[in-house]
Amino acid sequence: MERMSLMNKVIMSASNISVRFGGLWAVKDVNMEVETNQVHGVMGPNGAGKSTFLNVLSGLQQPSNGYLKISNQKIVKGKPWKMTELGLSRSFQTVRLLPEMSVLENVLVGGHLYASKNPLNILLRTKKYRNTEKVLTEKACDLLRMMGIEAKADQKITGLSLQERRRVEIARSLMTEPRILLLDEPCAGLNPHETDKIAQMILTIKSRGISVILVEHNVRMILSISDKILVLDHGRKIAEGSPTDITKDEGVIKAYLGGAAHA
Amino acid sequence: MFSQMVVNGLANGALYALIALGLTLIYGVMNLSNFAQGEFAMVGAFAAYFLKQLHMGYLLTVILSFAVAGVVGLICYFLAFYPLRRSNPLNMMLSSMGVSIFLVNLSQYIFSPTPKVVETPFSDQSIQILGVYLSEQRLLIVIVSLVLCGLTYWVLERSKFGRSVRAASIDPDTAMLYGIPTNKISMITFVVGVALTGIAGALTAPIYNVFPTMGISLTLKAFVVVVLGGMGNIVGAILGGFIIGLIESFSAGYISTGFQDAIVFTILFLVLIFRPQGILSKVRGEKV
Amino acid sequence: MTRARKIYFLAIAAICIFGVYGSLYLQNLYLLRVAILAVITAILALSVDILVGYTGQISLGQAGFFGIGAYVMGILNTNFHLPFWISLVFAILFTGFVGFVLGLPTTKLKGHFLGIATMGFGVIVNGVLNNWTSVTGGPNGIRGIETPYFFSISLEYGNYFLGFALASLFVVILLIFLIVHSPIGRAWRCLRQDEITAYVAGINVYKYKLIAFMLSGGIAGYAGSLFAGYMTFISPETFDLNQSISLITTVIMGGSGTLLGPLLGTAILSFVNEWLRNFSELRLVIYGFILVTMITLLPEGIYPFFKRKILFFFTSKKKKRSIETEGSNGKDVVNE
Ligand SMILES: Nc1ncnc2c1ncn2[C@@H]1O[C@H](COP(=O)(O)OP(=O)(O)OP(=O)(O)O)[C@@H](O)[C@H]1O
Ligand SMILES: [Mg+2]
Repeated sequence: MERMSLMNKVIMSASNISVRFGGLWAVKDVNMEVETNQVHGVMGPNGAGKSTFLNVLSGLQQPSNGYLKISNQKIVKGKPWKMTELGLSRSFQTVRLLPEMSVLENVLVGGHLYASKNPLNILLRTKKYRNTEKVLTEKACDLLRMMGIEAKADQKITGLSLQERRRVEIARSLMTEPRILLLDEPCAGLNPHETDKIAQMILTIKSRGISVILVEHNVRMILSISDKILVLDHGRKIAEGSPTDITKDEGVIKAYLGGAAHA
Repeated sequence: MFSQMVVNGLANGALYALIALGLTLIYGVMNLSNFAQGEFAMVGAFAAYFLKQLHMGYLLTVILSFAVAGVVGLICYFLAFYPLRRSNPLNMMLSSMGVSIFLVNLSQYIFSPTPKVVETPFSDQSIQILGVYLSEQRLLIVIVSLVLCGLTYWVLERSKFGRSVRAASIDPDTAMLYGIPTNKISMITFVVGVALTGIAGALTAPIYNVFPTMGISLTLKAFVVVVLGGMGNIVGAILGGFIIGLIESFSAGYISTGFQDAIVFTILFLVLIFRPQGILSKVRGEKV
Repeated sequence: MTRARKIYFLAIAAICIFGVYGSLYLQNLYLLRVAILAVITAILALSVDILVGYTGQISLGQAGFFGIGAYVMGILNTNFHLPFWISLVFAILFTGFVGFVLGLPTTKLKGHFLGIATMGFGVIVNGVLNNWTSVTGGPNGIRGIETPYFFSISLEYGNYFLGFALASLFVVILLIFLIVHSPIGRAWRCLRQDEITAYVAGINVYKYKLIAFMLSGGIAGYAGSLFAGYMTFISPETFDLNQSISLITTVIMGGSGTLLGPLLGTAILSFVNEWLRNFSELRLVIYGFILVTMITLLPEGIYPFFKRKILFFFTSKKKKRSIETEGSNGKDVVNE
């Protein structure tokens, strides 16, 4: 622990984040610091507010209270695309891909920030334009290769299995060149073998210098690959620490594991 | 002068409320922006005109106009909307525009574009209430509209059928899982929705005359009313009807009749910008 | 560019040149008039397609842009005696600007609400054209608009005008093609299918919708000016709600989100319209009926339907099976 905090810099912090839906606090006073080169696990029972918390981090949900800081810059009313520009990218609990586009195009969409959008370049198809498009396409192909689905690049999304869709979504997120990648239950609905593969992939992503915030119900998986874990229950933070700390935490065992003290 | 405008506004408002009620019901259940809604007022008005020619009593023709508009609605439903029930809302909307063109021009072909007069035992006699003149016909419109709106509201809120309608409009798929026959509900809602509009047509016939294109501006007004009240919101539609009736009456009185539509739509814009969910409804965000 | 693509482009360029050239030989004056109006409608239909097809924004007020374009031309040309070409530039810029202003509030709206708002825009524009008599001439419209010279060729001759209109159409097609097959077009298609995906991909959804509104408005304004220049007389009734509705149905019927669809839709509807003249009184009754039938039978649009059928015809049996299963999956996803 000590050594790590010396090495790792905080790149994003969330302070006192609260979100209210009508009479319900989906998230209440949650603080979090995201460090470079770490996998941050977020755990909690159903309805604990994990997805809502990720929505706040990615700008899709304005918090009722609290604020975010990225590289010491305070974010007020962060628009989702601004958050992407600032280096955040995410996947969704229910996969969001574009059904009318091919796999490759779906990934290319993620390269929007780096594409050439100057009207003059577009209309004249200048060399610069063609080059950036080519570089982007190559990058997208590389990512698909990394995800192990380059063979399906030209297929429509509708022909893909859930696991493959999840991979396309992660490839699209990586295409935005994030510093922090938010994954909302990337293993939900997958079998143990597929889960292991995704876990492996997350470690590869981490090794590329990208921090990962991972929401996951699969306890074994999240404990095995996270460096630090945050546990939410009823919108509140009930524990935070290394995986070993978390498994020993009384509150967590009670709330999350429902009293069954084996983890 | 002022109170006269208020009264006229309220009388027109009752009418708009009735038409908007049908429109909003249909929108809620079928997710259809029915651009042919006003045409059913025209159908109802022509039904009243035609039946009047057969020497029927006015009130009877009003009741029958409900049936005529309903039957025409049923035919349209099966030809133009039922086949598209799984398609996207835009196609349904265009289909309703096709229905509108068809109905307007068919009645132009059958009845010619010249406005027709429908006689009513109430038309000439004005009664004075607190210094304001209100013709009996307008009073009739207000009363019938309010009764029908109230009745519809009561059915929706209190009856088993009404509960099914509300369930189908909130979430058709889940409603289907609970054994609610959503297709049948759609059909009944559509038919009743346009039949109510048919009555509205028969009621205005003596005041504004009857002509094939009379429905078009009614459709536009009804849409403004529905947006104002919140799409799919029944109480909102009724309230919105009166608001638009009043605004229209004032803008005709103080500004000019020519700009009436432009003013109504400018208000629509303001509502869409500042309260897109309508004056009564709450915002519902998309859950990610 | 691959070789096949090069050939493809050359072929299209050849068609364009022959089209423009061939228009000079059309003798029948009636056909000439129908053709010119159809070409202007095609430009309008493409402008609608930018919003409806490529960006997924319903536009029920396109006649508003069309009308503004025509009236800017009319007013500048007759009241201020500006030459046609200068008025044209103003008309395009102004309608583009109007598209921007309309987009500011309406980009926040979706689906039915957007439809009603754009419809409101059309109605308001029509109301202004009809009632602001001192500037627009009210219901009487504007007369005596100049038909331009193209360098030294007077476009008063129908043939030359048709050639010019066709050339304009091809330029518009090229323009749309280049934009749609670029990151801008990709952003449009993305936000059409799912705005939240667009957000997380870093796309400023409102900005790209605004671009679509401006471009669509500008192109419709261009069509308006062309119309004014050809007719030399304009009045509000051309630019009413019916016009907007007819334009959007043209696009949907032909196949939205494609370049050929709106062209096909325009061709078919123009033909149907002329053919229906034989039925005089019943004309619009049949028109409405055809509309409903086409939409209920081919909701995806004529061009995509036939394209699918033809492609399917030419694919191998094995592939066919996979396409079939994929197709059924696809439907589920879209309906979700
Ligand atoms: N848009 C919304 N409107 C109202 N309530 C919401 C909305 N989104 C989430 N909620 C509520 O907020 C609470 C937290 O939801 P959230 O989706 O964040 O939980 P979660 O931890 O991601 O659960 P799960 O493990 O099931 O994904 C839940 O009670 C949920 O019903
Ligand atoms: Mg969740």
